[in-house]
Amino acid sequence: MSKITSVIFRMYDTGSVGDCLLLLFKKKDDVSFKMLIDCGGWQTNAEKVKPVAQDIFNTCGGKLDLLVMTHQHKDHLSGFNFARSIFDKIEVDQVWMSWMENPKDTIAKIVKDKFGKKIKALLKEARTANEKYSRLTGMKYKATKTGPRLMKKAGRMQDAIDLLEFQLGLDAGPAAAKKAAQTNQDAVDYLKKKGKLTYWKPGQVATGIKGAEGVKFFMLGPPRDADMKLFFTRTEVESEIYKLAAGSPSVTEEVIEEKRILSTPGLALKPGYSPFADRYLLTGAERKDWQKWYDLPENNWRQIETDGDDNFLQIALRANAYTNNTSFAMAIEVGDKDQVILLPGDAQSGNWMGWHKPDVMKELKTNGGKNTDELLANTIFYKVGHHNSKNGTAAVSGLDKMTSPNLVAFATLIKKAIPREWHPEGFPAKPLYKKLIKSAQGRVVRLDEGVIKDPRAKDLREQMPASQRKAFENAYRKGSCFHEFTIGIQS
Amino acid sequence: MKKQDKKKKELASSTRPPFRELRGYAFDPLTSLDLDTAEINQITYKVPWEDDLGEGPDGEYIKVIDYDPASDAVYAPVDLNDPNLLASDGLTPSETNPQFHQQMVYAVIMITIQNFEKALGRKVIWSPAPMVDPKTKKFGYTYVKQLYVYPHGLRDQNAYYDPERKALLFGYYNATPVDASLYLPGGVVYSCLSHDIVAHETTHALLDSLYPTYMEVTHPDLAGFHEGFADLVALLQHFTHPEIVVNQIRLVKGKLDMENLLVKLAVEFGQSTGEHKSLRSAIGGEDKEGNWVKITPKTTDYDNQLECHDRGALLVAAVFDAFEAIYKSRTADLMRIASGSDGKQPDGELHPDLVNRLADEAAKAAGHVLNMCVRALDYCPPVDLTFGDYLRALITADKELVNYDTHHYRIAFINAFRKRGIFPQGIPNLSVDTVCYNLEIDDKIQDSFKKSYVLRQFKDKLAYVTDRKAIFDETNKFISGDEDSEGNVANSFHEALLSDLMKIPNGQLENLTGLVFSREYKKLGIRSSKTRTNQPAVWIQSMRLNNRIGPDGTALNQLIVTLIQTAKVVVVDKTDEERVVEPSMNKPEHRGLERFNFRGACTLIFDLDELKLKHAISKPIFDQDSAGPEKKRKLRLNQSRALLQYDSTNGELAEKIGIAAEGREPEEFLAHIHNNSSFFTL
Repeated sequence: MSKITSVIFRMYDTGSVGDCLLLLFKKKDDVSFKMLIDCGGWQTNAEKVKPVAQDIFNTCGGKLDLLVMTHQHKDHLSGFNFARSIFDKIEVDQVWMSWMENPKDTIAKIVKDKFGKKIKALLKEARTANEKYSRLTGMKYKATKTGPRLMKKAGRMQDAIDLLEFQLGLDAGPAAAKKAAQTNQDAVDYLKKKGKLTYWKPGQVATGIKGAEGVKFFMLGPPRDADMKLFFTRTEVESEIYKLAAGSPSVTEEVIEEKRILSTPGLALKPGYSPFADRYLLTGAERKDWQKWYDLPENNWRQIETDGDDNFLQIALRANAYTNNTSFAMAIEVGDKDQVILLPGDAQSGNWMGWHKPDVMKELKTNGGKNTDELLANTIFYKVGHHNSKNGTAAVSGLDKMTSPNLVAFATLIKKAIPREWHPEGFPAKPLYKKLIKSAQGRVVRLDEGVIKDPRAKDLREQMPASQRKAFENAYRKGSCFHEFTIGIQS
Repeated sequence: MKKQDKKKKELASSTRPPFRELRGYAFDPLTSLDLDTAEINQITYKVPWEDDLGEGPDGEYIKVIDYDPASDAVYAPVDLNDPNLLASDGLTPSETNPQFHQQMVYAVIMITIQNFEKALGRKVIWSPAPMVDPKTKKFGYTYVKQLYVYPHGLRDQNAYYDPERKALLFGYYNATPVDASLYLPGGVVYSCLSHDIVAHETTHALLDSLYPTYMEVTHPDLAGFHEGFADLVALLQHFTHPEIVVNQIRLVKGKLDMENLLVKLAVEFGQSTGEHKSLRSAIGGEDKEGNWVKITPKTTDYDNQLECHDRGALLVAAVFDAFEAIYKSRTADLMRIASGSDGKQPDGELHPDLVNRLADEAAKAAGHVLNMCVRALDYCPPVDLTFGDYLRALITADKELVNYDTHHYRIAFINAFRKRGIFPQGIPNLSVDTVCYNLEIDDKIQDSFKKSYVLRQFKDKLAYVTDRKAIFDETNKFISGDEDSEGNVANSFHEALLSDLMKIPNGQLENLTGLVFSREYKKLGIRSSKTRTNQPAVWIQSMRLNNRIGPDGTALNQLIVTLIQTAKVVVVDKTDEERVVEPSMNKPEHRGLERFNFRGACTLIFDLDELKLKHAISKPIFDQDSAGPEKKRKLRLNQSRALLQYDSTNGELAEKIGIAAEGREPEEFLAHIHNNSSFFTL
């Protein structure tokens, strides 16, 4: 039984922000194990995804040993819908998902139930609100950042709708939304039937897999957190975000607030009904007179009907972060020197913190001989979490511990494709980016830039010993629709 | 009309009441549920009498519009001139009667406005609305007579002042299980019934009426200032009602810890709203033994507390500290009288007379401090106000009006700010004299103002105008000049003032105002004036007349002019560590960068009796240190200020301040810093 000598990590460009990662484990010149993680794009289409799927097909010869799905977001799943015809032709041996996708898992059930219902209800409300804007002005609003107040509001509402639709895997636009085949759920169902399915929990370690002998798959996240605390944890935990200084609101209050908004069962205030007795209401002619006055052109600029709508976007954003935190995160240990490839999906702070929970640490150590800290210290290849956003990579629980001098980082970031509602100015998050460049000594690759052009990174790469630089340059390759890196496995 | 009736009417109108008494909550409805405070929670507000108060209420300053969009309902407007209501001090406080809600917002807003007018010595005029005139199609700043107030405008845990619409919106919402100890879960909470929230939002509007530019968060202190100042007004207004204070002092039975009396009160006042947690934690709380203790300030507070509410709380705590010191100084004699020969106060209840006197002093001190705080606004720079600047404004404003500082108010303020690490910049030490602004300019320059036609005219024209619209129109005429039928502008103050100023050599004038007047302006990204060829544009933001009489009879007659100059700039990343602010130009390296307005500004205070320039409080647009002497002047943009401004709305610092919440526009920051749910980032 020969050993793995190299791993080719291929990061595909699906035409938009999104993950589609192919890992080829090689024994000398032969590929012995082929693994695909996710395939999706935020705003992509069949035209853009099909060449990617075709390349996967060609590269793996129509057979994958392992397919991993990280979480239920469109930018990680839509490819399976758009290029279904090609994926149909690909044979998959094993499919791995996290316990979150297991319909029989009690904790997953609780969490998902609470969430799915709320998201659907919110989307309905947001759509109704959006119709109001159309009515108010007799035109369909486009998302816009400038212009009259109502336009801005409509823009924000559209953002919220986009985010909620994204959450459900619906494509923007009512026509596309009607197609059931477009949902994330549909892609998940498809993947579940694609091969031998296993659900993993943090702490478990998979070994002895055919073709990947000697490779250990450490399962890190998502945390099994019935009270959902970690799922909501995103930016609240100050120490996990790279920042310039400290100071933050407390965790518990935010969590409570999240719970309040997302899980309060029904409100006593019914939409459209006043809390006051009918006798106080203006009716009939009086109301008409009042309306006449209120609608006078000179009052136009002071009207307020749309003020209550602003919370939608906030809620939608939070819902989004929640799903990111359900990401299936894993670390793959290869070779005698325990080199680690870290794949966190879109995990945000809460998920990263979950890897460090004592029980998880202990289990990993027992099952695979390494705990989270050791895995992080041995990480030589890092798929940057959540497209390089500030909370996709934890500080104390993450990058601070990645101390290997050989670290290389790949980020599925296309700056131009970051949707407006994600706030593109935070991609890449500046302080994180700086730290990442330093930790990887400039060896950072992005979907849009390839080897990054940032002058700091350039300087660091130049300062590197010539042999090391050469090794990096030789290992990197840009293909027609992907960037790839050959990770040399030492024995 | 019968002769007899006419006579009756004449006599009646000669005894026009000074106040309209209106019942309301002193705090909010929740306070009535607490046995300790129930008794004092209903007070009678003495609202300045308005002759032509319409239904709504619809008065000179505000119009209450009770439209509830979430319920698609309009509630019948209250008529406070109804004889029944006149005879019974308005409606009885009630949560279930929306008309009482209208009365409550009207009362609190009017009280707050009155406090401002008293302190400023002039009428409040809302910040004008920038809009295109439908008739002339010209863009201009339109007079806004009334603030629109929507007591049930939102179904949301939120309330805000909207500077764009000149409106106050108050929300109502379901109490949530989180607050189960305080609220009935599922019950409805109305923010318009909280004195603090109403006073707070009104203060935002009042601040905006003085400095619309404070809506641009160009410095970490600014968002904090808006918040803190608004909390401060709400807090001090409670203390100005002696009946509340009397009750609270009386309640503290047995061994009265006089040391922390005011702290306890302030914290309790803060508690009632359930909102101003930061305010409570900044001032004090209970220790392990359940005693009231004041939070000990640290000199690092100012550097560490950046989030806008925390920063605001810092300001509140500093001013409160000063207020407490003043109160103690004012009551030291009373406490000595009340103490026994052992120097201790006797156990048991306090003598009612003593309680009354103490409450009186607290109310008086609160009134003075509130006055000082508002008055100081006139001495603030029009942009980039820092807490240090505000301290200087406080001290200067007080020193000019009050000759003898018998109770050491000024030192109390300086100490309170110093303890929290708030220091004004560029002064050698912290004595009253150095903290106070002190203008030193050439006599020649002063002389030029003596001849100023504008200064003389302005007072003559405006000193006796009382109608708010007339004041607005006259002032505008001064600023933009009379327009003749052909649209030619003549006699503009703008021109006249600038020509007055232009007599000063460029270099001196630039150093005085912090604005650029020389040819260098183009290089700094400042656009040219539309009226004067080859001159930089300077905007007169406001002119205000100031008539005040101090406690010792000192009368102040001042003209306050605020000037603003704007440069269009971008921030260029030269290297990782070095960023440079450059005038925005059409060149490749500026493409894609965010172009923003960087402002230099200056508040000029003229003494109208002596026709002298008293103060020039500036935020220079250029770097004054590197400007060089008159002949070899070379101006560059004020890098540090511009970068701080950029950072205050972008990236890490902005996040810390808490205004960069997603999905919101920076200019709506008041709306979202009041919304609990907006402090989330992706």
